[in-house]
Amino acid sequence: MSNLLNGELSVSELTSLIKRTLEEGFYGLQVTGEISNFRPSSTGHWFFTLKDSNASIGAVMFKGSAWRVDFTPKEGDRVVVSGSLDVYAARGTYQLKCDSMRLAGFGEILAELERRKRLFAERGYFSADRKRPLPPYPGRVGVVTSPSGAALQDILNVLERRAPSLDVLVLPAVVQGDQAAQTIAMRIEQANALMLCDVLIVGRGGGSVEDLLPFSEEVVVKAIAESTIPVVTGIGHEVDFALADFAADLRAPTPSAAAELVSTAFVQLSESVRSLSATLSAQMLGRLTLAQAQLQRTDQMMLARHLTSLIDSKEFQLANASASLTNAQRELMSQTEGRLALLKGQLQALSPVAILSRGYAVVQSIDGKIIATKEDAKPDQVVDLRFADGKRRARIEE
Amino acid sequence: MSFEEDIKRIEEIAQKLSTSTTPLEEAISLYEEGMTLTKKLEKTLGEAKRKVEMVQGQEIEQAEITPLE
Repeated sequence: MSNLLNGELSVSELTSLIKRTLEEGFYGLQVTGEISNFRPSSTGHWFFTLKDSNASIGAVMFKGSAWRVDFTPKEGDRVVVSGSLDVYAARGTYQLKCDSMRLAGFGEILAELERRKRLFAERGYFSADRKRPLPPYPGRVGVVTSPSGAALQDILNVLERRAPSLDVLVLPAVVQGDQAAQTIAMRIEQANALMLCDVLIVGRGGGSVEDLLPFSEEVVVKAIAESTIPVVTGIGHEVDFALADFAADLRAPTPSAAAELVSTAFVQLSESVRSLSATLSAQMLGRLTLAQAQLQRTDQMMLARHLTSLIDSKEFQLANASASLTNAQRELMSQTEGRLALLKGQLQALSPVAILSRGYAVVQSIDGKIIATKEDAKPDQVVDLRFADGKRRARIEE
Repeated sequence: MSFEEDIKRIEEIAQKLSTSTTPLEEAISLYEEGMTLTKKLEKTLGEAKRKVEMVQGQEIEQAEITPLE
């Protein structure tokens, strides 16, 4: 038997040879096996053993690849990994370095889902005229999910933040495993039978394709399609889908998103109220400013008008007064003239001349004394007779 | 009154307020009405008065409802 190589090899040299042979010879592999001894490290790498009934191989999936896997493997999962062989020289071990991982039978599951999807479509579960709009302001939202799951907490948190006045009713269901489909369907039917809520969220958090399968079972899809209460599904993550999504009135990518959709109107309403309140205040302020300006202008105009009318009325009074003054003067004068004539007349009436002109005569002595009695008139006395128009000398006879 | 009716009324009020032909006194009482409505809505919407409950039992016809939170 000839030596494979000439000369002696160190352990390192041999290991290096093995490493090169294995790593260069075994790449681009697709390996199916069962997960065992799954040990995720705190740094994000996955260490596990891949096995079947007869053999096992150590396997590693580094963080950079592991984060792309849409499920967390667990004991017993049948998976298909792709990768290459990797030799760890320090321990002299080899392992499978995985670049990607999917659940074995994924293709079959997809094919089955496609088949069911066509069947359900034929049965009318997905028909568009079944879809109802969500009530914008539900009074109570029903949630069909696991009472212990993270999905419920997410939904409760979102609703509390966005619609703190909205009541929530949890309809607890098993969301994976054999019992799941039946309990989910039962809760949807129960909500309808007892009219427990105005809108239903049906969902669960992320998981493997198998985990989500109950949401693609006919009982669930049918219960959703026949629900008179509008249904929003929020199943798994963005990338996941279940046939329930097609039957739902609205499909949300996640349970949190479903809660957001249910509470959309409340958030919009809050925003409208806030902006309307601001609008009202701004408009009222504008209105008041306008009124103030109007008031100032009106003030000045009113004052001017008031003053003008005041002046006008005073002028009028003045003109009136001056006219009356003239009148009064005139009146006073004519009154005075009248009185004067009257007095003249009275004066004239008292004058002795006036009496004389009526045919009387005054007898006077020559020295001018009035002789009023016969005793004063002596016979042969010369007297003056005074008439109105003059005097005559006369002699008393006896 | 429902949320929609309240909002509609507030919008109506805003519309009237923006019209300068609305007499000032009317504008003031409209503004007061609008602010009362927005306060009421804000209170209703923002109040953390929700009830979180859970259905008990496994029978469709028998749903005992108990508080959860």
